[in-house]
Amino acid sequence: MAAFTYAPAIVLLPFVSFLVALFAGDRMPKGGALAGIAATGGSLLLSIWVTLTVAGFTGSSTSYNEFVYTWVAGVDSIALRFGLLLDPLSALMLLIVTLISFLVHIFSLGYMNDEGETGLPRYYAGLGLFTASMLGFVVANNLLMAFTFFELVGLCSYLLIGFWFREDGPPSAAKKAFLVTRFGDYFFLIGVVGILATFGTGLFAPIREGGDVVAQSFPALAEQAVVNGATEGIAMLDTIGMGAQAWFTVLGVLVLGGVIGKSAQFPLHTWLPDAMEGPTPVSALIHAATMVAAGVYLVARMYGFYAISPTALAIIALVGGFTALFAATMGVVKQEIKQVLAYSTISQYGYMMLALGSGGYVAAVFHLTTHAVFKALLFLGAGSVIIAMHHNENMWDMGGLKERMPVTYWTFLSGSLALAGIVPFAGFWSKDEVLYEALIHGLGSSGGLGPAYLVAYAMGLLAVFMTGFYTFRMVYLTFHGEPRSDIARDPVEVGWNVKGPLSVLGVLAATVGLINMKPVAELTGAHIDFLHAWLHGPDEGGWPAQLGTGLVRYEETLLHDVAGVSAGYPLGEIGTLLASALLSLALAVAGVLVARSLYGGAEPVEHTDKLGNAKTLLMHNYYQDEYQVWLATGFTYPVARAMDKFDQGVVDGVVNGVSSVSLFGSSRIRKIQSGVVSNYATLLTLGLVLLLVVFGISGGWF
Amino acid sequence: MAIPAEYYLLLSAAVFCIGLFGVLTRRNALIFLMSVELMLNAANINFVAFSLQHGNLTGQVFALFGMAIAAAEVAVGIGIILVLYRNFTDVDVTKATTMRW
Amino acid sequence: MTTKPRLNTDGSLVAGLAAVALFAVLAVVFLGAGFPAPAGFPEGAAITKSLGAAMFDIAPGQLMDEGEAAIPAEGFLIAFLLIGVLLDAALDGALMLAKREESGENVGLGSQSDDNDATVAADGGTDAGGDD
Repeated sequence: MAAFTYAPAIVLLPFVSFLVALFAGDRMPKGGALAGIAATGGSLLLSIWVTLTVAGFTGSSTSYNEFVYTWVAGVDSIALRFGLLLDPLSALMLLIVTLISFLVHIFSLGYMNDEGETGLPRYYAGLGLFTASMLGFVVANNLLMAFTFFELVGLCSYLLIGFWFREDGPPSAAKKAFLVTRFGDYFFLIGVVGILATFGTGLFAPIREGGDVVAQSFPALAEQAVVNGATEGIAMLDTIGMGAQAWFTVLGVLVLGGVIGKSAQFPLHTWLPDAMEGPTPVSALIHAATMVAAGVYLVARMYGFYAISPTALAIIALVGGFTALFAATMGVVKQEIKQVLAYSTISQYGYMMLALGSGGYVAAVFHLTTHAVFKALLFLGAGSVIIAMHHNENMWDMGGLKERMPVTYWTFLSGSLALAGIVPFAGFWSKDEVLYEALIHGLGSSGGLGPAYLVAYAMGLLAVFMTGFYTFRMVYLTFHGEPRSDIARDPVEVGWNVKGPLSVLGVLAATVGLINMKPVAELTGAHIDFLHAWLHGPDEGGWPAQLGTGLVRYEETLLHDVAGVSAGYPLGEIGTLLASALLSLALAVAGVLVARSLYGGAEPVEHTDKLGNAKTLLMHNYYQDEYQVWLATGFTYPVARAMDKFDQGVVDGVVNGVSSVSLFGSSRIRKIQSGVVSNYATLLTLGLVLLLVVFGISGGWF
Repeated sequence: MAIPAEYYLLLSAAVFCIGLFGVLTRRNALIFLMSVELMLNAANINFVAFSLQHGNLTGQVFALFGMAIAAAEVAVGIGIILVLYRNFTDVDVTKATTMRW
Repeated sequence: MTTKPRLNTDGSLVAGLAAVALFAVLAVVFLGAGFPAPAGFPEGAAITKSLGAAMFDIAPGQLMDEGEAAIPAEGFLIAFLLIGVLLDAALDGALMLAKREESGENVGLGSQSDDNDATVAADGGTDAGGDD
């Protein structure tokens, strides 16, 4: 229990380091870095403690769901409160975020401090605020709090991307990131308001006091409405005139708007490649492992709500599958190392969405974990290369760095093998499970879901080939062959504050797949699917009964019974499993081999011209950026201008009109006072006559 | 066979309105003052008429006092016209229009 | 030699219509009002003497010769005295308004700086302002 009482410190420690860096950073020797490292290290230790408690090794209770602060105490209405929800999913995410943040802080010593960057207090303050916000988002126990921290991480992303604001690129990229994600967040906000209005609560899990439910959660209320038809408490349904499931689908899709923006799915993916203008550690932390994970994490947190709506699930799966393929095709022609990694991130988050949509909850969380590790590793490795190459990112100027930067090379290779999905590295196990879940649920589900999942599966499968291809194209161009420029021949040395985090993550990328090697578990019958057990929880009682989350509820009750998602095994369970695994492995290896044949030699050349017209399309990112700019300038701006004219002309015009009538009238009426006494006398007389006539008529004098 | 009161009142009204006409249309301040005098005298006629009507002398006494007051008012009025002339060099009432918008 | 008198048409006569309208209204009202027969003064009444008695609060009988009836009225002595005061005040006021101020203070609209006091028509003037 003690771990849970200290849990708010997990969020507050990085916030304190933000304040320290902001106000005292210029007096500190490393510009606030040490405060950040201490704070994230402390949060990491506390997160480990929380995880041990949730696992049941210490303390008495394995979950925690309480309010810690009330901002608005509503009377007979919604109260707005901050609270913490600590269960296996949030504990896992806490570990990931604090670990990656800690390693990124150490890496920043090498990337920023040693390179002599200025403005470091601002940088470390931004990192601290970001870490605090992300951790706050992870532990949020209600939707409004989650939305607040969601927006805060967006703000920190803006501040950090625009770190080098004196150049042209970064501030523009920061604005683009903020605006595109904000566009999605607008729908999210409407969804939050809709959920609060419909259910009267934004809680993700019920709050219990001694076994009785004190405050019910909205997924539970939604489930009761759909499964049991208990819709009396939900007045909105009468106002809207939709059925419960249809309305909940609408709400889910609205919240999905924010998820799509934050996790850079199509069509709101355009900000992520531009966000690479920020410093590489920022890209590693925010745009690879944590902030973009926020969207996927939110869906996983609210899974009980999404699982009752097959339409929402199908949309998630299709968006994910499409994005996976779409981004992968763009990644194959990029020339800068960080750009390849950015498109790769978009593509991999597509896989996670595919998993969530097709009912593979464990697969999605697994891929989230492994991706955080190997993508952060790849970005930090790219950062190391960038330091060595004096901030030149173009892969065509690199080459031959393998001999010159061995630590970076081997860790980068470990991350690349994980990304491509080559056994036994982490990415293989997680990506394979994602595709497997999509396949079996596609084959087994009823209604329109089955075909939707199969289409998404096909797109994801094709993206595996491309992933392998572009990843190893990147590796061969950067590290293999002969150096293609002077700086590649003689790169700058990187210190241990760079190599240390790389080594840690390199080892993790190779081994973290062990947490859930499902194929091996199925084949040998050994219980080594630890992650599955972790998210499943105890069969009786414990946190699944307390919180209503957990695999039993999601898979068996909701997905199977309500949404109609079930599994079909054409070759039997083991057979299908092996076939799917071999298929994805074969495609990945094929991609690697093609990359090797094209780029593996001593003097690789550009092959992108062979794509012909497709090359232009891909280099221009399918003209998505132009399209979005057109939406803003060609469509929104004229509408906004028309609205402005209306506002100024009609609304202001009425007000101005009232005043001008008054002014005109008074300027005419004052001319009565002409100063000529005879006129006054005339008016007096006329008044007298009128009065007499009126009195006369009413008094009957005539 | 006393004349009925209406005719005295009619006479008084006629004199009053002639005086009023002068006030409204004449431009010379002295003629303006004379018109005001006419109006006062119309009131006096009215008083006397009602004194006859009621058989009470109060009305006639009032008329005497009214004449006295009219005299006082003319004295002050002429003084005012004098000052007006000094400030505007003209006794035309339509010229003294500085107190306007 | 003079010419025949002419109607003064300097100003506009339109304003006079208000006066005409007032006369019309008053005439209609007065002619329509029904007055009882006037109680005139009795035959052989000493009106003037009674007026005097009323003005000075003297009992009317003391002023009458034989064969003359007195007509009752209220006492107006206080009013008489007040009118006296009023006339006095009016006289003083008129004098004060008419008097010139010291050393040419009676300024007009751009006239009488130093020397044209003699041209001020209403005075019949003495030269060079100031007290006489």
